[in-house]
Amino acid sequence: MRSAISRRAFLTRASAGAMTIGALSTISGIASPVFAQTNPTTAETPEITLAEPLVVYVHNPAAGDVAFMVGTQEVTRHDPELVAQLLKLMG
Amino acid sequence: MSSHREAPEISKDPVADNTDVYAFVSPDKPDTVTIIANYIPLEEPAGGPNFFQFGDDVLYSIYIDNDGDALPDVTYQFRFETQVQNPETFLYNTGPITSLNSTNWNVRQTYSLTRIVGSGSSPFHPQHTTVLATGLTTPPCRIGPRSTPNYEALAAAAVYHLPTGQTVFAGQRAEGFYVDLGSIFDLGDLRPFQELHVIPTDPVAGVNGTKGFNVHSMALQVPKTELAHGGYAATDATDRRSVVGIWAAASRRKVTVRLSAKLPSVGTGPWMQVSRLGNPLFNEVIVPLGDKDEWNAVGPNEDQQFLKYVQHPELASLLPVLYPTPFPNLKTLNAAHTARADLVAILMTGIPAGIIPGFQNYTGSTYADVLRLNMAIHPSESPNILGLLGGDLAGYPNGRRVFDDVVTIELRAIAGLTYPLIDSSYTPDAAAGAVTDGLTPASNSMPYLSTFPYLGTPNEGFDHQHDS
Repeated sequence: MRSAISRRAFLTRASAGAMTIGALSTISGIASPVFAQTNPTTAETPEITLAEPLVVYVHNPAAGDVAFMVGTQEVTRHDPELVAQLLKLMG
Repeated sequence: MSSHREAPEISKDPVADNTDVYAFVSPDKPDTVTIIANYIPLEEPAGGPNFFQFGDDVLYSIYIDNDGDALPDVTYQFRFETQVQNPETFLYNTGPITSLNSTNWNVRQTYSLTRIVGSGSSPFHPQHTTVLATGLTTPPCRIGPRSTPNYEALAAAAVYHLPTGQTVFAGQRAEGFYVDLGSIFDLGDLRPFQELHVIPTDPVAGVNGTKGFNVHSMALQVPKTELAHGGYAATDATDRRSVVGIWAAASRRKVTVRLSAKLPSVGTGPWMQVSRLGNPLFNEVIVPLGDKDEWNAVGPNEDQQFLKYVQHPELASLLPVLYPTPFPNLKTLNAAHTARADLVAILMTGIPAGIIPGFQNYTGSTYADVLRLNMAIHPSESPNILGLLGGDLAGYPNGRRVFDDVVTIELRAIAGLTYPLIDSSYTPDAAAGAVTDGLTPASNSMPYLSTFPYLGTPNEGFDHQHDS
């Protein structure tokens, strides 16, 4: 019998999944809107932090695939056990 | 319309709906190219109190392919941010807006411009990203003589000349695309020729269905050397490096979470393309209803799947049905199920050298709907709104100028006028050289500008007129 997933373990697992693609695309943010800045700057690759929302999406629970999204990053893992535990959390 | 409300999904998302793309050698600065991407179809100028604005949650992109693979080599991204100065009033402005820093202007929008250079396999895998500017201001919408007096000066103040060499503007403009929407969507009627329609009525002049409406434009003027492969100056029209493919798109985050009435929605996940546009009318007229949303979601490097619709366009089959007498040769051509290689060249590969004297805008064998501009063709001193069909090499489908009559050009091409380019034995019907919705730029309410950003001053909410 599977044990219920803890919130800490869930975040750890999700963060680890997201971090595997941490070096992917760079989408620049918007700087201060008060004064126009017209000196070019090279955008830096954003780091994923726990300050950003994490979205976990299971499109088809029967398939066991879980998509994790943080910032502009997305990683999909095949993890039927996690899907089952998420469903159990939903009661 | 060119690409206004052209697909089921995007018709429900106006701020991301790409309506027109223009690209042309700047007539007053011929060492530069001007690219304009329009969004938000059919803006009613009086549409307050929440007047139109760009989407803060939309990623707007202009793409340039300079090596013929239909993947972006240079990308310009626009991101917008709205500021409400006083949330305690319902008013867009609390007095006349006489400058871009007017304290009377309550709802403002600023933006950043980012350039990405790289030939990655995905538009979102940049190799080199540079933020060219932040905090640039869009002008307010044009409301009326009390709220936005001297609007031309307000808009001019929102034209930025960046130290990196680009000129940029983002904001409301008068709709420049003219088309008789009311007749065309009434079973393909063309008012000047409607006595020949299968359901005939007396012929009358065309009616401009977009007259008096506005759009939101992002306009860029950049040196040719910034667009061409290897920084080429585009001095030789026969050189493949002089030709670039251009398209625009809009993307939204994969997930939107609505938190509460007090908090803004949160977007998370990768950017997902929801709209794109290269050639006018491509998705609108060529792609069937069941594929239109998919077309908006993919890049032009995946357009091979839509090739069959260009080779055998539905509209070419409909013309002899809707107009039973004037298209006998087109009817015969359709019956032979001959692939329309002329349309494939115009819309999906560019026109190779040797077909039109002194001209080519061929990008190679990759089938892709992009606007192809041969930057070495100088701006015409006597422009013809029919572009190449009118003998004007600087007009559509060599890029697209704001005044080009793309409805008539594409209508005539589909009717068979351009088929002799690939089969000299074919004689187009006389109607193929005459068919039109009967409109010219004179049907617009606001004149085009002779300088950047070229599209006219927006129609005013207080006093504007639509055609009828």
